[in-house]
Amino acid sequence: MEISIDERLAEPVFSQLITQIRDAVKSGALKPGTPLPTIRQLASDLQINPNTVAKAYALLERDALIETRGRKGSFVHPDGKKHSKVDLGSQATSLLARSIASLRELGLTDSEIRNAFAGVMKE
Amino acid sequence: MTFDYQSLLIAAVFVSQIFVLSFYAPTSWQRYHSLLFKRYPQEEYPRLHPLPLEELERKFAIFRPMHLVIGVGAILTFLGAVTWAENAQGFAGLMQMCLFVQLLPLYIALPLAIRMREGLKAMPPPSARSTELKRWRVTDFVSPVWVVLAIAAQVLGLACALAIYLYRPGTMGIFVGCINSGLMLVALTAPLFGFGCTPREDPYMSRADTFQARQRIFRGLYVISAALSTWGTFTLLFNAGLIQFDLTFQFVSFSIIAQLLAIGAVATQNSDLNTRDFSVYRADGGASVAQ
Repeated sequence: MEISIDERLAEPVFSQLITQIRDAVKSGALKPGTPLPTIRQLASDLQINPNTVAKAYALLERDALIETRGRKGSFVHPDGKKHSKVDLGSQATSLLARSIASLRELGLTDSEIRNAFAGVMKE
Repeated sequence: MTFDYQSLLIAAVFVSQIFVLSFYAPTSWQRYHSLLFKRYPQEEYPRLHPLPLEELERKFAIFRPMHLVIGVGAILTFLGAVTWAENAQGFAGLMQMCLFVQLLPLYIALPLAIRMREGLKAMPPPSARSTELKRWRVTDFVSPVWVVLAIAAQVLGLACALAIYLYRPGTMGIFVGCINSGLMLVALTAPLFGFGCTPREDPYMSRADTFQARQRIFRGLYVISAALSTWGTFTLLFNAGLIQFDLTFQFVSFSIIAQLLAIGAVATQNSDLNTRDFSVYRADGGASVAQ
């Protein structure tokens, strides 16, 4: 399976990696248990910073799409296909939308909500 | 010197050593670079030439006479050895000395080769690039038979060194043998357990060529280490007095190995020139996606 990146796109490189690996797991192109290249190998092949690949792998692991088995490296999670259907991004959007609606009902202005949100994020 | 079978063998290897290392290989190397610049000019293929042609020509202007002088010197040494050498061992010793002198330009050219390689690696990569999402295994590049043979040769070398240390502690080369086999064993087994990575040759090389380049690195590592370890073990056993062989054969085998490596390097370069995909190095981004 081929993976590609384009630095001219607005989407960050780590996000491009995540999207492609997620799509591959979802479509079955990457089967459960398939070994993934090491962070250094993929970074070297794509000529990107290893930290970028590490960040993408960490987020994919958080979403249980891949798993790391110590020194053996990273593999596609056994339930990766099921987990690939869970979209944490849209879940976060709907949760935030509900909270914002409640805050508006309480009479808060949009700028007050933004300030509160920024304050919470800083903590 | 009496011309027996042994001296005739040395003479044949000596002549071929002079021809291959001082004339054939240097000429082929320079011809390769001239053809590379001719077929793929720097203006059209800037990503292929990290160093300007003028600089390379300046270097070639130094290397050409150097090889010629060393080659002529080696011919004179050969003629002198045929006339005055007392025995086959002295003849082989002179051949060995010539071999080291003939390899001298190689050491001098090494910084240039490193600069060219580093220059290629340092080229800014294309914005869009792709690769295969696959975890490479050593056996994708080199036959498992060679992997087993190379590791077995190191284990054998290590075992021999330890056994000789226990039973003939004063033998020369035990420590070096142990260190060599130990380090090579680590270098050969590490990739099997996923340690280390194989870097790209340059940001533009096509996927097929990158695979081939990696294949060459791994084949070289396993095949050469197996050969070197076997040779090291024989030398150690010889030093310990456990086996006997004429030292001249060792000198002859050194020369043959050096010649084979030079011929192999030339053949690889020539094959590259005809089979490698050079379109990826075009200024207009012949293939904007590096594979």
